[in-house]
Amino acid sequence: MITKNFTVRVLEASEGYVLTQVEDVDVMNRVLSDRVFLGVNDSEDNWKEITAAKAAEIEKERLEKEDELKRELLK
Amino acid sequence: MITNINFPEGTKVTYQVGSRWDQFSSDISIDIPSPNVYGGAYTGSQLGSARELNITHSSYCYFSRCIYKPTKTEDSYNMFYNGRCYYDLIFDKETAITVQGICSGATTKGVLRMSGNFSNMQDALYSANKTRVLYLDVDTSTLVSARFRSLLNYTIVAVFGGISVKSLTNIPYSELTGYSRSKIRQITVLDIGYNTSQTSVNFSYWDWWGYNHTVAPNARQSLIDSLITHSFDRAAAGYSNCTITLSAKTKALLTEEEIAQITSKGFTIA
Repeated sequence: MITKNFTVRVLEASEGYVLTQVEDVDVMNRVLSDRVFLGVNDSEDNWKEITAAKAAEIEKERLEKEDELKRELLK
Repeated sequence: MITNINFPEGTKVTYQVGSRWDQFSSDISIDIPSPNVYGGAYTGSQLGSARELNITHSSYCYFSRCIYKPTKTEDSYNMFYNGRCYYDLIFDKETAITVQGICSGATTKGVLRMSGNFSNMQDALYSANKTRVLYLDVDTSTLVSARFRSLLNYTIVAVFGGISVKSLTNIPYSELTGYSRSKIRQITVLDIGYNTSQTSVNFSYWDWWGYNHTVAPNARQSLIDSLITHSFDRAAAGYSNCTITLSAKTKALLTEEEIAQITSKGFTIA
């Protein structure tokens, strides 16, 4: 019998905050999440909290970019 | 004027009015010299082995099956765009071709079967109507980044057959859904994380991925197969971490043990 034990590190955003990457990434690749399960090679140093208001701004920017791309697609 | 068309003995039909073709009978093989037919209407039960036929921007296509052997990659650009497509779309697999825009804006039957070796699927099935179940037998090993966009649009509930993302780098959510939240529940994505530079894969627009349905009976299994069984073990290969973004609904489907198995292969779930 093989017994495996897994340990998962979980990051949960504080009330009113959202988790996102520390790394500077394009808005289309920006992750916004209230809970993150870290991979074995990932570090909590790669993640940060931003306010929900800031996350909403990013989401708005993403939607605007989406609309722009959609319009280009339909040309 | 159409020349050099050889139909089997006893085949009924064929006439053309302008660009309109009507009344092919069943199981015929067509070899049309002209590579460009624009806005035609095609009827019949089978369009067989159309070696040099380009049916771009077709308005009406009623064959139940299209076996297509393109001679040039551009032959298939925007095939069936804004048209109607009630086919099985069977492309010859010998050569990787582009199917950019295939069935874009087209009205398809509820079930669409498509096979081939595609190097470019950008805008494939974009805004296609009515397709709920897609059977794919596709070699996607030659796909390059940003050539997958909107293949799986919001109308498709289930995909039978896996899609490999081996050759892709980072995959934003728009790559697969075309800027619209998808209804997709069942799809097996193969080789997630295989590419060393694939550090993020976003499935957050697949709100219902993993939720079983009458036309998607193996939805949950497809989720597990994608994230665990057929994903690449980046940790074992010494690759950097890859972040997989799932919708909140899909994330809630995963058990602690399943999450542990995914993270142990070098993936962060967000």
